[in-house]
Formats: sequence, structure tokens, C-alpha cells
Amino acid sequence: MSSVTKNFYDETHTVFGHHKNKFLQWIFSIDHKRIGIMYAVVMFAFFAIAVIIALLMRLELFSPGQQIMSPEQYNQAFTLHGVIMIFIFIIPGIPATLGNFVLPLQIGARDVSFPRLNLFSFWVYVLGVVIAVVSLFPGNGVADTGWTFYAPYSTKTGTNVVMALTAAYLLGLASILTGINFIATVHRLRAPGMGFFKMPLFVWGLYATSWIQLLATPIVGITLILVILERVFGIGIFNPAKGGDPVLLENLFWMYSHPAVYLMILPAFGIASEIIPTFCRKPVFGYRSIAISSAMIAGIGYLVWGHHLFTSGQSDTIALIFSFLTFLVGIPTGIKFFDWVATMYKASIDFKAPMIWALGTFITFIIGGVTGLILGAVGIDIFLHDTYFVVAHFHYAILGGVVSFMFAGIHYWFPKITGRMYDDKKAKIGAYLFFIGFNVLWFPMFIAGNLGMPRRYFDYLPEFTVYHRIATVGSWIFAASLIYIFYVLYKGAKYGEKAGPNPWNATTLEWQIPSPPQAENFGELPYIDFDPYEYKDGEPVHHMDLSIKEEKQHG
Amino acid sequence: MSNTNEITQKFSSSIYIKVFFILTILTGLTILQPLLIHMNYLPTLSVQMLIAFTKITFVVMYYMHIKGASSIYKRLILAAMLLVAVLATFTIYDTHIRLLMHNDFFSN
Amino acid sequence: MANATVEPEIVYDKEGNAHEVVDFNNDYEGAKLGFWIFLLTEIMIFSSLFLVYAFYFDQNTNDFVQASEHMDRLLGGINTFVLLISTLTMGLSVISLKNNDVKKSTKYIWITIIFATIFLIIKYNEWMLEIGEGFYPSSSYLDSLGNGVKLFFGLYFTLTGLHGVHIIVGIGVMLWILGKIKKGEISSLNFVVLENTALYWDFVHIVWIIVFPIFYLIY
Repeated sequence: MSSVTKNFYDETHTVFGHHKNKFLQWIFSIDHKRIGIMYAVVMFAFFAIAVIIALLMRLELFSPGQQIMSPEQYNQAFTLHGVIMIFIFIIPGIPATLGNFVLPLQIGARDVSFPRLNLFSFWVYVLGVVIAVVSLFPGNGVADTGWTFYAPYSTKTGTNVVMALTAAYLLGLASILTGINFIATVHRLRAPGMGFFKMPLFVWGLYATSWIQLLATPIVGITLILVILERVFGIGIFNPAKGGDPVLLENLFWMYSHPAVYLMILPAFGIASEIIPTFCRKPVFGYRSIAISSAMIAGIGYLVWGHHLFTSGQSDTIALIFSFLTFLVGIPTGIKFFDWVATMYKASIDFKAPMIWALGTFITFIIGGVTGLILGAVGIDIFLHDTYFVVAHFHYAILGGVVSFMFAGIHYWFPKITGRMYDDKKAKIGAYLFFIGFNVLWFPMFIAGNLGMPRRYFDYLPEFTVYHRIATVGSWIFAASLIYIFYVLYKGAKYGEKAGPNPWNATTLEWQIPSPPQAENFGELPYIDFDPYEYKDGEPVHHMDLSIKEEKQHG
Repeated sequence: MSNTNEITQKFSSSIYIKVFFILTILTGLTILQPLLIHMNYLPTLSVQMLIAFTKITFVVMYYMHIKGASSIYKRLILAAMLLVAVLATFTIYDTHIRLLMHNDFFSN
Repeated sequence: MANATVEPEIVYDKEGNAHEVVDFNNDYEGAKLGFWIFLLTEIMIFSSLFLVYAFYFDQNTNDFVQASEHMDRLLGGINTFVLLISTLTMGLSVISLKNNDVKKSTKYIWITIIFATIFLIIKYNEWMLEIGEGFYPSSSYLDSLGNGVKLFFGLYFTLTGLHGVHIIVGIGVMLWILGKIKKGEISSLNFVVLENTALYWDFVHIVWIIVFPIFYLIY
């Protein structure tokens, strides 16, 4: 390794020339790595807020009757929790943070295709966040419609729905801009020789996700605008009194919002596909099938939105078609799981913290996915619709799937991002705590839902008390685990040992450059005539030094 | 295709003018059709959409240069159109059935 | 922006064949691809509105046909031709710029801006006529009519309004481009921004090609 002193924390390109001020150097930076980190900071700040709101809701539900908040406040609390978690945290989620940081590194690019647009998308995102925060205060306070903004209630309630909608619109726009950037980057900036089937699988996940961002987000964007127009001018499109059809809003909303869950999970699957071969020291099993199944999930994912409308008076024919298509999604997802398990088979697995995170997530996500199939069956769904079963299902899929894969990814790329290593043993304890708390928190809700506990109610019948109590206790364990995880990571970033360029013996390109990477990532680029995960006898086949040397600066 | 090699070449505007005349004629047809031939809304709408689609094809192919572009652009546009068509079919099929059931219910 | 004359970076494979590394700062194809992807999102936005239209047309066919008779076909027809000509001049300005005829290109852009403004003025007057007759959302006159008529005008104002916003944005972008041409930042060597704007303008035209018949000509 050559003596590399300057990394991207020391120098950066900014959009308006040079700034002395460190803060300005960050917020005007067009470096994809810095933008990824800035996204992460804002996102996790709001993640913390939404977790606190959720803890308060669980506290309210500890006993039947009213404890700490009124029914109206409870409605606003779950709306705020949903809006923050969905629109501010999980939709930009993996693509905007880890994706921004890692995608160009993995394909051997010096930045994304449109670095300025990338920064612009961050600003739009921040603007959306600010509007969402401002909507808390004036008038009757934050929207109380639930994050789905169903009409006609959303066109009538006196709370600040317009502001919440505007915020959601801007956040969607930011996500579209990220998607445009990623697709152009993947198409144009792959290192020479890297065909589509030589890309790392995380890139495949991000690529499939970007298509969903592009083709689905505009639909919800225009829908939100229609609701705004409905509220402001009364155009009548969602108002039954004027011939409008609220079911149309549900259709349009889920045309985006169902693909959106695949938008969240596909990069998460990509992270798993990076971690499994790295810690099994084996080429991934069925590379092509994992890559193509990402595209299949994205494709079928568009055509299943109707399974949210089984109880809306949808016609039976279309309900059955949607139910069938919903089951189809299980196939490509299953393919991925088989490939991962087959990769692990007979490997000498290295149980480092990222691997523990990935394995724990396999279990929780399978529970989340299979309960999804249960809900996808029309008859059962009509029984379970709007109960805690649904709540538990999507928290298993999204929190126990997307977010915990994201934590796996954070633990995996942490040494690359910070240049230092966290305490592996403590990180593993954090992971175990997380999964224990998680299951204690959500599993009782499956049972409560099956017994008829409806979602979004601030009160319940006494016979549900035991499930709510267990869940609330679980929420405390879960919150404690989060604090511990971030504490371990913080200690690692501050005092950890220097990680070196490739602490995991990984094979993809981002591990062939110094950690943290330099401002333009790569000095010399290799010609890629090898597959992304080539291991032989437990060792990577190719060792490269692609750092930028002092004497040979690019550009 | 890089920017540097193209200075020497002259670009001609004749195809733009030709397409412009075709579009003008089609637009004339669009406006005249309902004035001259009175039909029910369904044939009118079909004819109108047919003309509109022809016009769009001309604009996309010649003004937006898709005719000579690499196949990825053609595939992108086709994929988007297909997606829209599927979304529309599902939604409208559903409302149509619901409407029929609704009317049945209230007429009996 | 990096200069167009920078030597491309070359990577050699095992057989010694040269492969160019795409420079992310100066990537003509990438800029065009990116813009087309952006246009796809625009297609989805307007398609969803057309979907809403088709949805309610199916539910309220007779009302829609009736409401269409209230539209001013003369103004709508003139506007159709105005946009048609403006897309031609926009295309010609790109060709002139590629041929290094900056003066002619600038002239064509100005003509396009003028036509776009004419379109907006006509559209404004048309709206005012309709509002004067009581055809606007939530007016007591419109509320006394059938549900389909209300939806028709709700959709009409939404779609033409959104289309108008796109035209205003287009005019803004063209003015910005004129400034850049003056400074020499957009030239026969670097014309992708103008080319993309022309694509955008063609797209705005395409939207109108659909909007015009479905609102004005279904009676």
C-alpha cells in the first residue's frame, strides 16, 4: 500500500468552488460519499424520533383505557410515525445512504453520473423533511390520516394534511432524482470490461430499485397533488359527493406504495448477497439467478397493488388475479433464499457481526414474507385485514428485513466508511439483543391480530392486555439494543483500530482501495475480466491496489 | 458518439420540415373529423386516439430522434407504455365491473 | 465542466486491447440517457392523469361527452398549431447550433419562446372565459350540474394547469439557455443541454396532442 494521506474527509469537490468552512464543505459537497453520509445523518436522526414516538404509543397501549395520550393524539402519533419511517427513513433508506456511498465504488466509477443532481436531491430531501417538521405546529397539528392519506378523510380533516402531502411529494422527488442518477451511473460508468453480469449483486439490487423509484414514484406524486388540489380547490376527483371515487385514490396510492416495499427490500437483498459470499469465502451460488430475480421482483411487484384493496369493494375477478400475482412474488424471493443457503452449505463460515446480522434477518424476514403470503390469500385477508396481524407482518418484513439488513450493511461497510473497526464481540451482542427485542415486540401481535385486535386503535378490550404488555416490554429491549448498537459503532469510529483496505478479505472493487476512500475513489482502473466473487481455497483470487498515487493524480 | 467529431458534418433540417407538414395535416384532420362526420362518442374517440397516436409516433421518431437511437431507448419507452397499459387495464376493468354490479343492484 | 479536448483515459485488457474509461464529467450519452429517464417519470405523471380521466370517462361517459361541448374549440385548435410550430422552431434551433450557426439558433429559440408565450396567453383567456361562465371547481353553477361534468372540469383544470406549468418551466429553461449560449457555455461543441430541452419541449407537445382531443373533441 502506498503512503496515502488524504481521504475524502480531508478534501472534496464542492458545487460553488472552495469553502474554508468545514460545514459548508459538507453541505455543498458533490462527492457521492459525503452525500451518502449526510443522508444517513438526517435519516437516523428522524429514525430516532420515530422510534421514540413508537415507544410512546406502546406505552399508551400498556393497559386498556387512556394513559398518556388522547385518541386524537394517538392518531397523529401513528401518522407521524408512519410518515417519518416510510417517507423520511426507509424509502431513501439503503439507496441514498449505503447505495450512494458504495455503488460507484463497486462498479469502479469516480462518482455518480450527475454529482450536482445528487447533491440537489439531498437538498430537496432536506426541504421535504423541514416541511414535514413544520407541519407539526400550526393549527390543529400534524396530519391524523395515517401515512396512506386515504380519501375522503384526508380531504376533510382539519389537520395540516396539505403540508404533509407536500413534504411527501418532495421526498418522492428526491428519491426519483437518486434513481435517475443510479440508472445513468450503472449504464454509463461501469469500469471497462464489467458487463451487467459482472456487477456485484448489491449494484443489481440498487439498479432494480431505481427502476421502481422512477416508474412508480411519479404516480404517487401526482396522486398527492390531486389530493392537495382537492383540498384547496375542490376539483372533486376524490370526493364522492361530486362523483369522485375514493377507491381510485387507493388504487393510485398502492400502485406506488406496494412497489415501494420492493424498492426498500431489493437493495437489502443486495446487501445480503454481498455479505454471504464474503463470510463464507466462496463464490456466491447462482449469481445469475440472484441478479435476475431482483429484476423479476421489481417487475411482478408492480402488478400486485390490488391486494391492499381486497376489502374495498373490489370485484372478485380482479381480487383473484391480484392474489395470484402476489403469490408469484414469492418465487423470485425464494430463489434468492435458496441461493444464499446453497452458498453457505459446506462453507467454513466466519461468524463476524455482519454475518450474524444477515443470518438473523433471514429468519425474521422469512416470517415477514410468509405471513405476507397468508395475507395475500383473499379469504384469509378479509378476516385479517386491518388487524395487528398486518402490522406485525409488515414490521417483520420492513423492520426485520430492510432495516436489519441495513444494519448488516452498515456493519459490513463501516470499516470502509470510517477507516476503523468496531468491537466485533460487542457488535454481535447488539445484534442478538436486537433480534430478541424485535421478536418479543412483534410476535405477540400476530396472535393478537388473529384474535381480532384491530390496528390504529388507541384502546383495546381487556383480553388483549397480555399481548400488549409483552409487546411493550419487547419495545424496551428493542430500544435498548438500538442505543447499544449505536454506542458500539460510535466507539468504533472514534477509538477503533485502523481497519486497513480490506478487513473482510472481500473481493469487490470497493475493498481494493484505501479506507476511507480518497476523493475520486480510484487511481488506476483495472480491466474487469473476472466475476465479482472469486474465491479459491478461502482466499480472494485477485488482489489489487487501486489507490490514487501521489504522483499520478487523475484529471 | 463524442462531441468532437461532429463539427465537420452538416445537419439538415429537411426531415423536420417534412414531418412538420405531416403533423399539420394530421392536426387538421383531428379538428375537422368531429365537425364533418357526426358519430357516436366511441368511434369519434377511437379515430381521435388513432390520429393522436400517429402524431406522437412521428414526434417521437423524428423530432426526438428515437428512429436512429440505440435500442435501449426504444425498449425504455415501450416498457413504460406497457406498464401504463397494464395499470390502466387492471384499474378500469375493476371499476367497470363494480359499476355494472352497482347498476344491476339498483335496477332490480 | 471538463474540457472536451482532454485525453480519454485508457485501460488495457489481457490481450492488450484498449478500452476507454467514461469520464463522468463529460459524458454526452450519459446526459442524454439521464434526461430520457427523467422524461419517463414525466410520462408516468401524465399517464396517471390520463388513467384518472379514463377511469371517470368509463363511469360518466354521457356527462363527459356533454361537458366537452362547452369547450372552446377555436382557441384550443389555434393553440394546437401554436405548439406544433414551436416544436419545429425548437428542433431547428438545435440543428443550427450543431451546424455552428449560433445566431440562427438564438433566433429560433426566441421564436419558440414567443410562441410559448402566445400559447399561455390564449390558454389564460380560455380559462377566464370558462371561469366567467361558471365552469370552475366548486362554483355553485358547476355544482348544480351532473357529477361527470364536475369531474370533467376538475380534470380539465388539473391537466391543462399542469401542462401550463410545464410550458412556463420550459420558457424559463430556454431563457437560461440563451444566457449560456451568449457566454459560449453551450455551443456546437457542447449542445446536449439544448438538445435535452428540445426533447422536453417535444414531450410537452405530445401531452397536448392527447389533451386536446380528449377534452375538446369527444362530443
